[in-house]
Amino acid sequence: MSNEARMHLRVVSPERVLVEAEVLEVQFPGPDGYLGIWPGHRPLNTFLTRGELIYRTVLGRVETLGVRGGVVQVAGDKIIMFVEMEEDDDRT
Amino acid sequence: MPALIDLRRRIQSIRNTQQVTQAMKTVATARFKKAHRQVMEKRPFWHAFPELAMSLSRAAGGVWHPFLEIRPEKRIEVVVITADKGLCGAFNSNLLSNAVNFLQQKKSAAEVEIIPVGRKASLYFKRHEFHIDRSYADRIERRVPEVSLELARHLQHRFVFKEVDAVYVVYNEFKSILAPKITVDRLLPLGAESIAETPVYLQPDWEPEARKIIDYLLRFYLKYQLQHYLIESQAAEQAARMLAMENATKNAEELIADLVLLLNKMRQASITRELLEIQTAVEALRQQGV
Repeated sequence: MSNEARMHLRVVSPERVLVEAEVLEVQFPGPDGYLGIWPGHRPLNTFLTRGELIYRTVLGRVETLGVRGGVVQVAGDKIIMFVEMEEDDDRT
Repeated sequence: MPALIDLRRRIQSIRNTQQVTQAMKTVATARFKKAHRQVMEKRPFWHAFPELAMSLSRAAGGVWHPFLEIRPEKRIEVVVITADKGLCGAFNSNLLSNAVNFLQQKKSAAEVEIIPVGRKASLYFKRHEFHIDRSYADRIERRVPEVSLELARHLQHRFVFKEVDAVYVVYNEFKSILAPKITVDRLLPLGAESIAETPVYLQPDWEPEARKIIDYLLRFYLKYQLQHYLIESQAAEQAARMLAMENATKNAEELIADLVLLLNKMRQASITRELLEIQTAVEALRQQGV
């Protein structure tokens, strides 16, 4: 692939690792609406709210994931998200 | 010497027992596989989460949170997690005796209250002098999320309102199939003792303020940490049962082999004896010239 700047995205729920990928762009529902993260973003700690997490991988694929809430840490070129999924609660 | 019929009955009864243990082993194996998969799937979270929680707490720099408050331990609460059922070797008894040791140790300095989880623990502590706060028994494995949520709420309430100064958990951690590891963890106050160096990034932005994020994170952590304990304990239980049942099946096999040998010897002996008697009779008749 190209030499485009990329980031490492890791999304973990209490159930399992949901995403582990090299990505070019991430969008997620933050506390005040959708937030887009591009490579080189300032370090940021924030919440994830109910909505869809969207990310574009280095292969150009755009993937989405429904989430209920969680915490996001953006540090350097690493993004770590701890999320609660929609279905977590009704699972028995 | 026992009669042949008795021996045959005994062998049959051991065979029946063996069939039961064999079936239980199969069931335990299936359950273990499921529990093991769960543990393995969830481990990345449990390894990464405390790290994140710690690094965020540090980055937030002295944000005070009630879960982090360390007080002298005057009253403590201990959650003891066992299985509901037996037939899993020394799984429950080892854990309970370890728990009692720990409780005796703590009792000299603090008032101790117990929350037994699992029927074995509930029954055991009913017969002891310890004070029981509440107990959970029966089919915990079917309702792990509810039980852990309820426990988390209860424990954090008691801790924050200073009804207890610390919460410990005694449980079987799933280490390998061969042996569970009995572990005592301090759940509250949340451990700040393991401060590892993490790479320092730019001072991060917080959105909203750090206190809110830390609060959310710690609650999240507490809720899922309890679930983690329950699931580890279940995986360890199934592994222990699988092993115990395998041993029982093997023992039955050996016992049957021994008894069958004895049975054959006795049958042979009785045939020889009968033959001998017939021969003697024939000999006697011939001598009389009949």
